[in-house]
Amino acid sequence: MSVAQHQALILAGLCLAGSIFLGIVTLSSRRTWFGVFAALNLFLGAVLFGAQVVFGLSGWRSEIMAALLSELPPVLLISGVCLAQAGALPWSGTLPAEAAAQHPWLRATLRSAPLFLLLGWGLAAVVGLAWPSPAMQAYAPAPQQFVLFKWLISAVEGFYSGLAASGFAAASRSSAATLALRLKNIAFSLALFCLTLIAVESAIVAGVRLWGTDVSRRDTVGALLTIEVYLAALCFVALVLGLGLRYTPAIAATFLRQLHTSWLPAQERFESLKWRAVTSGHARGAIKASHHIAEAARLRRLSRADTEKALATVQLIATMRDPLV
Amino acid sequence: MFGELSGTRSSDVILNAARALLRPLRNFNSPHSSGPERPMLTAEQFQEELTLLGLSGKEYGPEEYAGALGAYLGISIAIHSIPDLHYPELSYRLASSGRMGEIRYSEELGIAVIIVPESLPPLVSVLTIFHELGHLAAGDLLIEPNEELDNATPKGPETSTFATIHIKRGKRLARGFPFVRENLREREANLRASYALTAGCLGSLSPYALKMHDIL
Repeated sequence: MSVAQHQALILAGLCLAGSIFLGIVTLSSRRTWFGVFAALNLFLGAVLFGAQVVFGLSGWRSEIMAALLSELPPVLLISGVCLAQAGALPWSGTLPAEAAAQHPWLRATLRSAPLFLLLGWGLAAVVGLAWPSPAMQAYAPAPQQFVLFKWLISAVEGFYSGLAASGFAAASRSSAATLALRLKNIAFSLALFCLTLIAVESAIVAGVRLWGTDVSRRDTVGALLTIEVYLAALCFVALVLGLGLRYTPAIAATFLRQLHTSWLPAQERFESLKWRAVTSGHARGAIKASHHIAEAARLRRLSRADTEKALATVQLIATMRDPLV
Repeated sequence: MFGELSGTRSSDVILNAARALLRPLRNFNSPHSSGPERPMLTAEQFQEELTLLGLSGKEYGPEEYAGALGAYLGISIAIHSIPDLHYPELSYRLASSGRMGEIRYSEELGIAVIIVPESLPPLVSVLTIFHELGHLAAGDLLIEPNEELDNATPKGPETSTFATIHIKRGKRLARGFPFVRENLREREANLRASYALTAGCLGSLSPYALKMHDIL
C-alpha cells in the first residue's frame, strides 16, 4: 500500500465514522437538513477515499481524477454552509446569518461561493487533466502544474470556509443568542476553521513537493499529513457536536405569524369605531365633558393620576350610556 | 366579431407597447418610474431590517425604534402626543382624514414629526407610532404625488406581487421600493407596525432573531 493509499484509508475511515455518527443523530429527533446533507457528504467522501484504496491508481490522469473527486465533498459542504449563511436556501429558511444581514457585500460574497468553488474545481480539473501530475504520490517531487492544480482548489476552499467560520464565530459572540446557540456556533466555526487549515496545509504540501529537497520534503510532508488527519478528525467531531446541540425557541414562528395577521382587523375595527364616534357626534358630549373636567382638575390642582381617573370615568359612563356596537 | 375583437386587442397591444416605449422618455426628468413588482413585507424581511438598525434580539419601544431609524436614515424623528381631549378639533381633523396619527417629513431639513392623539389607548398608540415609522422605513414619504402612478391599474386580488415605484433619491430602510397604490402602502405599514410591536416585546425570545443565530 502506497503512502497516498494509506492516507486515503485513514480519511475514508474518518469519513465513514463521521457519516455513521451523523446518521444516528439525523435519525433521532435532532434531524435537520444540514445533518442529512453532512451525513451524505461524509458518506460520499468515505466511498471516494475507499475507492482509491481498493482500486488503486494507475497513471497520473487517474491520480488527478481521484484527487478531484475527493475534493467534491468539501466543495459541496462549504457551498451549502455559505448559501445557508446568505439565507439563499429556501428549505433552511430565508433568514441570513446576522453578520450577512448587516453587510450586503458579505451576503453577496457568501452567495457566490458555489459558483467560485465549482469554477476553481473546474479550472483545476482542466489544468490537471491537460498536464497530468502525480497527485496521489505524497512524497514524490511534483511539477509546477501540480502546484497550480492544488492551489486553484485550495485557495477557493480556504477563502470560503474561512469566511463561513468567521460568520459562525461572530454569531457565537452575539449577546442576543442563548448559551446553546453560542456553543453550536463555536462548534461550527471550529469545524470550518479546520477545513480552512486543511486547505492551507494542502497548498503547503504542494509547495513543499515542488520546492523542497528530498530530505526536507519527506519530513515536512509526513508531518503535514499527520496534521491533516488530526484536523479532519477535529472537524468531524465539531460538526457532530454542532448538530447535536439543538435549540427550540420558546415561541414558535407560526404562532407569531397568526398573531401578526389576526390583530390587524381588530385594530382597523377600533380605528373605524373611534372615528365613527367622533364624526357622528357621539363623542362630542364626552369630549366637551372631558375638556371641562381637565380644566376643573387644573384649577383644583389635582394630580395627573387623579385627572386621568376622572377623565376615564367620564368616558366609561359615556360609553355605557351610548354604546356604538 | 372575432375579427373586431382581435382587432381591438391588436390595437390595444400596439398602444400599450407605444406607451411602454414612451414611458422612460416621459419619466426622464421625473424622480419616479416603475419599479419591480414585489410581495408584502414578511416577518423575516422585517427581522433583517431590525438587524440593520441594531435592534435584532433586543427589547425596544417606539422611541428606541424611532431613534435607531433616525440614526440609520440620518434624520431626526420627533414623536408628539397631542392632548386631543383639550383640543377636540384635532380629533375632528384626524377623523376627517381617516387616520389615527400623522407624520410630517422634510427631506431638506432632515426632520420627521409624528403626531398622535393622547386619548388613544396605549397599545393602539404604540401601533400608530410604529405605523407612521413604517411609512418612513419603507420610503413612502419619498414619493411625490404623481397622478399617472396613483391611477395605475390595480392587479386582481389573486396576485401576490404588486407594482412599486422606483425612487432614485432619498434613503430608506426597506430593500424593496414602495408600492404604487396607497392602500397597499397602508397595509404594509400596518404589517410593519405589527412586526415591530411583537419583535420589540419579545426581544431575545423572538424566534426570527434566534433563527439568525441558528443557521444550520
